[in-house]
Amino acid sequence: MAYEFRLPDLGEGMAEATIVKWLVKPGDYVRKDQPILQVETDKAIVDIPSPYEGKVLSLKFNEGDTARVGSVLLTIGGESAEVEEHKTGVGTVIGAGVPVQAPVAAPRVRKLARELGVDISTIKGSGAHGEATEEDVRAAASQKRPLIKEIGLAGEVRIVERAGAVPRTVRAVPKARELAKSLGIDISSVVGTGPDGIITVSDVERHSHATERIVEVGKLAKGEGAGSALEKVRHPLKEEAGKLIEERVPVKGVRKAIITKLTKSNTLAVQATAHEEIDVTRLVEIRSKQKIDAEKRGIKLTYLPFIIKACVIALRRNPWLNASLDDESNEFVLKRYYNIGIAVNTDDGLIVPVVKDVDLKSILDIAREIEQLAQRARERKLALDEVSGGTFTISNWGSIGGTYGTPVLNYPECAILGTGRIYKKPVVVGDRVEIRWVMPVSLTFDHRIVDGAQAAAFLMDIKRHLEDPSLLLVEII
Amino acid sequence: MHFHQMGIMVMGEVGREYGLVVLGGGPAGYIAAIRAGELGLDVALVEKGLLGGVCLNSGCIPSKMLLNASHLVSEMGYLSSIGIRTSAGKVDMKRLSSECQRTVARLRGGIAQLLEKNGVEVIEGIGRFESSGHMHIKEGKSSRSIRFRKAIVATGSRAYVPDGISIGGNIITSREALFLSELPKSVAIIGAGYIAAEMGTFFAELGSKVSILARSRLLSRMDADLVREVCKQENIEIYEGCSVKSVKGGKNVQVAFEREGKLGKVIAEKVIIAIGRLPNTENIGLENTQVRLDKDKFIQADYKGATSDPRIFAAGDVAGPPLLAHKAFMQGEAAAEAVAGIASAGFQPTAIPEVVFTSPEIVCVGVSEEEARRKMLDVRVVRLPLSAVGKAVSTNAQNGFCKIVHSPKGLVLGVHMVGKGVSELAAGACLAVEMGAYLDDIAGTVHPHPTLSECLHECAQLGLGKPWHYAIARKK
Repeated sequence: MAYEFRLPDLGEGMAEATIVKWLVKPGDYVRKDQPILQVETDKAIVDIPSPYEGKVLSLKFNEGDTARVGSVLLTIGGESAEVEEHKTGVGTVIGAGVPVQAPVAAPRVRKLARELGVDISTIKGSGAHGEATEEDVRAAASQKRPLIKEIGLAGEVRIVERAGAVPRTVRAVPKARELAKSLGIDISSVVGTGPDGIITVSDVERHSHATERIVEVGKLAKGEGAGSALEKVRHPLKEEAGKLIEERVPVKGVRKAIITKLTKSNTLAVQATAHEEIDVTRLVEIRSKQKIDAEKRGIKLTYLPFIIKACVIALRRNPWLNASLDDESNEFVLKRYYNIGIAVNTDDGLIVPVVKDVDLKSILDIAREIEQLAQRARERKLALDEVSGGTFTISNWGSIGGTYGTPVLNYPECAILGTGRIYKKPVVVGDRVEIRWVMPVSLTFDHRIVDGAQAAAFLMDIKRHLEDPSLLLVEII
Repeated sequence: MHFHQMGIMVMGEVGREYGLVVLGGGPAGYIAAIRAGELGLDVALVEKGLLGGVCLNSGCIPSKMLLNASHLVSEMGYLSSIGIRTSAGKVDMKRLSSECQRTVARLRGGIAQLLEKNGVEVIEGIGRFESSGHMHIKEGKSSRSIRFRKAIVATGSRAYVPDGISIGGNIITSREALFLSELPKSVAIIGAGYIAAEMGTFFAELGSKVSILARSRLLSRMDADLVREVCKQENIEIYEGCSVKSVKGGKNVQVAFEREGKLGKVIAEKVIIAIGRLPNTENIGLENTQVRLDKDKFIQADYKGATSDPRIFAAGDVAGPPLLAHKAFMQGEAAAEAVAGIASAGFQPTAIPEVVFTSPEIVCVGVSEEEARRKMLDVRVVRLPLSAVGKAVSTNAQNGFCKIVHSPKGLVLGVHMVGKGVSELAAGACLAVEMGAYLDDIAGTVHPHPTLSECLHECAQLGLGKPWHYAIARKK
């Protein structure tokens, strides 16, 4: 009997992954849990272990190919799955012909199926006796996306409904239905933001806008134009008089994830930005002193851990800034944990590792963790749980340069803080002009969740704690 | 002051709204409330009578205390046969009842403590839905209305008494039968279910003359060969297939019935009506909600306890048969978790076990031999007498057997047992069925010696054709 090994969902609603390297070849004998291939997801390069033991029969993808979650990656031949029928010697043999439905799974597997919204009776189990295992349920769950957008070969967007999808009632105002119909939009693919999730006219408009963008991105990726605006860029390479004037780069990997994520953020959230200048003269003094001590302990102490601490205190006081809006259930999610994402620039693009539970960590702990995470981000060695679960993000462009900016929300988080370069400038202190160290900051927030007043109050809390770092002491755990 | 803080203050002034209101403090209700409390919900539990419901106050718990006592009495004969002569003495029903009440009260206190520790507010009163978001509560003479975001209905069930029979005097239900002040010389029990069977065992073991008037076969949902062992009990006369015509009260109650076209009658000091149970779905204002009932007046609820009203859940007896406390516990948990928005919430068992505390006891888990025959299932049945187990023989428990129903490949589909003390083996059998165990799994698990549990192991061994303590006839 041969087992088909399908690409599992490695987390956070991953849709596909690129096969980086096969670690086995047909004919190899693999043991259970032996790594069999490396895949690259939006976020990391991951080794995938074999759930089965047996001989590798065939590989279904080449290195460099992109595989969708749930597609068969390889087949492995197991031991003979047929259990020899034992002779009972005693006992009664009843009936014939009507096979008995085996219990489809153990209780914990059934629980997982409920959790992931999978109908367990539809799963073909891979267990020794055909029972469903946790892996089977996860694989089924990753295949079961009620409605997904697919970008077809020609760059068109298709709304694909998967078998076994959960039907949902679509509530929309009549005008929105009409508009969707006229635009050729499947109303069930629109996220409603009205009362109880009802779809409004503006939802349809927003959706239509987003769809167009995805089409454009998709067409760009496939090297095809979409209408007159894109007509000019039809061919992958354009040469004039033997000189290369354009180059076509496929959209994939980290860049692709960034495009999807930012498009979603810009489409769904209503973003507004507030700016502020913070006098960090005292912080500069403290940090330059502590830096030497930290260095002796092998830690590079930057301003970031102080900023993170100030943010956590401000988030605790302003819990709505640490919230998100669950568009599907139409509920706000107020998070009582503080996981701060740090935007890290890498050669492949921006990656946001997350420092977890920063409220429970010291400034030095955070400094050490940031250093390690940033290093691993640049090496593309981050594990999936190191880049997920954030509740608030900080983008420190000041380390490169620049003052104010407009950071884009790391959706679905409510807010993101951009910090500019710390520099000396004349500041009015009392009635005198003094030379002070200042740090410009920009806070983008989701106006659907909070209003300007709350965002300003939050920003003021950060400002106060960075201008007088002794306040940080008082708040420490 | 920050904007959002002002917002919270305003909310506080509007009034009391509970995250969850549980109506009914029985097994489903109190477990739901405890679980919801653990999950941090703001929970109120409304109970009009006593915490613990029928199960604790007038069902499972007191009846097991009585049955344990009567089982001990019934072993007097055995004791004297092995050289311990002691007189059985007199049965002081008043004392037995009050001890029973004391035990029940102690357990009830435990539930109250658990609820308190989990932050559940217990409201003693009669709750009635005014809408899908409001409940009216009558507390003694005063009354009030509370708001809730979600509610769980766990109002349980009560004994069904057909028209023409009125409870009172010597005509009683199982509820009153548990707390009699004197042992009746004779008892007639109308009913064929486990309550009728257990009541019969209790009174018969204490020496009452018992008649059971059953419309069908006694315990008809269970395999006949299991029930046959119970019917061997002394002091019990079972009239199967009879339809009761009238029940006339008085000092002695006269029950007239028709059986196989002939009329008959039984006269007894007490008559217990144990025909069935009805869900408590009336008078709780469900008509003011979107909750729908089925034709038998049970609430239509899914495996998460969700009803047709998105804000109201149901658990326990009201959510439909089987009417068993262990099912109610599981449903209570599932409903609380569903209310809290936990995705994995739900109760989807392979088997809900049934245990009857007759003498001997009966355990039914999963597919039975009779069900297999009826459905022509491709299964094997292996049966082991308890006399093959040393512990059973040495402790006067050799009467009875263990039966495993399994697929041709050995998948355990059902375990059915009858014998003294087998109720304690039920959980092991359930685990096997739920986990999808094969005969090899049971045979490969050490069952400690000497215990009665070895009957499961030996039965699996027998199913595999390699029994240790039981000889298979050799084929010639």
